[in-house]
Amino acid sequence: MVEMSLEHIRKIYPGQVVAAVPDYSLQIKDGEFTVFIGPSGSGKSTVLRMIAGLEDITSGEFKMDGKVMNDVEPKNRGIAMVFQNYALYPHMTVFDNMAFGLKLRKEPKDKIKAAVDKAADLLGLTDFLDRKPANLSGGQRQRVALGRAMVRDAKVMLLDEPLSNLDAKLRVEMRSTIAKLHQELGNNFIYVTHDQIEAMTMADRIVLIDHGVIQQDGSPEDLYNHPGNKFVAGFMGSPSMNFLNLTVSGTQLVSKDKKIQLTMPKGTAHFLKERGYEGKEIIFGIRPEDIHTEPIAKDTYPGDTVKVRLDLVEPLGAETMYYFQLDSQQFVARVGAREISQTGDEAELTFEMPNAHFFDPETELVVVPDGETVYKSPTKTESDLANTKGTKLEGQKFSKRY
Amino acid sequence: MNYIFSILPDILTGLNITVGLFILTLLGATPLGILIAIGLRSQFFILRWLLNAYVWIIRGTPLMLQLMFFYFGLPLATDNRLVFPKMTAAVLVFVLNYAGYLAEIFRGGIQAIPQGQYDAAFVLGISHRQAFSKIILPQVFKIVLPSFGNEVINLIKDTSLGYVISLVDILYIAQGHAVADVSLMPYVIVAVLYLIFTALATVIMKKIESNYREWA
Repeated sequence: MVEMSLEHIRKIYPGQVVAAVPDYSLQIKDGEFTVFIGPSGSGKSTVLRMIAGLEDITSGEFKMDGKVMNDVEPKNRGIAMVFQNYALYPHMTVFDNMAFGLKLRKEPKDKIKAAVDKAADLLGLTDFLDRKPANLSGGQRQRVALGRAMVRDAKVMLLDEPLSNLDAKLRVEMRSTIAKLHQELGNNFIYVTHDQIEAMTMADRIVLIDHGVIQQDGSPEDLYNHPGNKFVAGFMGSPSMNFLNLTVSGTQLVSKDKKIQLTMPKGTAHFLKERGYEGKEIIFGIRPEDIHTEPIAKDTYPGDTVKVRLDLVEPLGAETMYYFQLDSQQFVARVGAREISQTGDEAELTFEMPNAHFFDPETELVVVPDGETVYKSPTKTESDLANTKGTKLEGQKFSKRY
Repeated sequence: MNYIFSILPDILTGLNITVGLFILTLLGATPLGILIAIGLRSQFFILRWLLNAYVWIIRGTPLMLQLMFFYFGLPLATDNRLVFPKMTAAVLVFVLNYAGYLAEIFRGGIQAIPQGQYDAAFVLGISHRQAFSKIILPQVFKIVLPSFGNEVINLIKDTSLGYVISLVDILYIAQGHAVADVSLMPYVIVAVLYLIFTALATVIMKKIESNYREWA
């Protein structure tokens, strides 16, 4: 199929001072399902549009199989694209929407029909080929947009927030449709979203972008379990990770008013001391699912239980969310569905400290034990990374975990 | 009643001028309006400036004045080197005038098409020209249809302005009868004819709109 590389891509819009994409480098392997994720305005769609050729690249090179594509017309890039608002042609039937590109290329009628029928069959559109887009549901329209891109038989499929206009049930349905489609076609999929559930469920690889800078890229598990910085940790996961500034004191993490005292595993305390955090502040992060109410958790981690008043209890059926304050920070815990606490109740919550994450308050980079969890960086050596404390590494890219 | 039937055939002889002027204007002004609309969105500043100036002048001066300038003024200004027959002058002025109005209507329609429609076309491997003619224009027509319909009805009525350059249309003939016979009836007949034309145009435009409605 095709290997793609973006090398020091930069995008500045005319009349702007700040670059929408300051310096973006990425390799995309053949057949990979890559998801660009990030908050609104992070530059992920801009990068996608540069790959498609719909936006000019200010500087840097975009290559496909080693060939520079910067000045190649969109139609000659071997790329198909699915848009957020579908961009179907309202005056054409489903069949004509899907066949239009092929008709203009003067392909034989039987070849066009075969290609459209195959796509329609795969996407469950066979019964709708004579309808106009106005007579289709949102999910059906999205499938037509996918079919139109499929029929193009492109090496690369670009999808720009294709599910954002659909309701929750349809989104789940379409996620599996797109995943199946990728398995079936086996070509490169580059998918833009701000919905991390989409990213986690579909991606072979996630590229998390903020302000046009890659914050981290790697497998979904990598980004979730081994975030490279506080931004990644806070972005991945729903509800997002809880953060609290605490001071390292021996094997304890202590709040300023001494009301919160958490006991760290010995190994954690040792590496934090080794890295020079003894007596200093550190950002402590813990995911909602690592906060427990069960007595067994209290027995397992006896020094890690806090008493809190619940500001809000949100029963969600399969689970319950507890919202509470710790040291004037809003926290959320994801607990079992059978918990029967009410809003305003007091609760004892136990933190599963071996799953905690630590970030430098200045650089917001993850603090990791030397030689244990190191993130490979394209611009820094491992020894540089081991000594990044106190250095502002904005936009540092982290990927693989050794 | 006898009087009506006695003058009606004579008035109807002016129909070929009225209808001819209407059809020729529509056939000339519509494509020209589209071209000007495209030009108004051009990258070239000078072209854009010239076309904006043209539209401003056309929309800012009365059609009657434009007719008089073209038919009476140009021969004066060029020592009779530039003289047009009445019908030619009328068609040229009407086409240029209506193209200016339609250009603004089409420009609005083109701007209303989402960028995604262009993007989808270019990524699908469709050339700019094909994208515009096969994808954008059909959608533009749907958007501009109500405004276009208004212009069609205005045009039917405006054909009567040919009278100022003595174009022998239905109004010109009716005026002759009204003066000769000292009667209002010729004017009433012409009014009824215009009402029939506008009703017919309205029905046709509504029919076209309903055909477009299925892909709303």
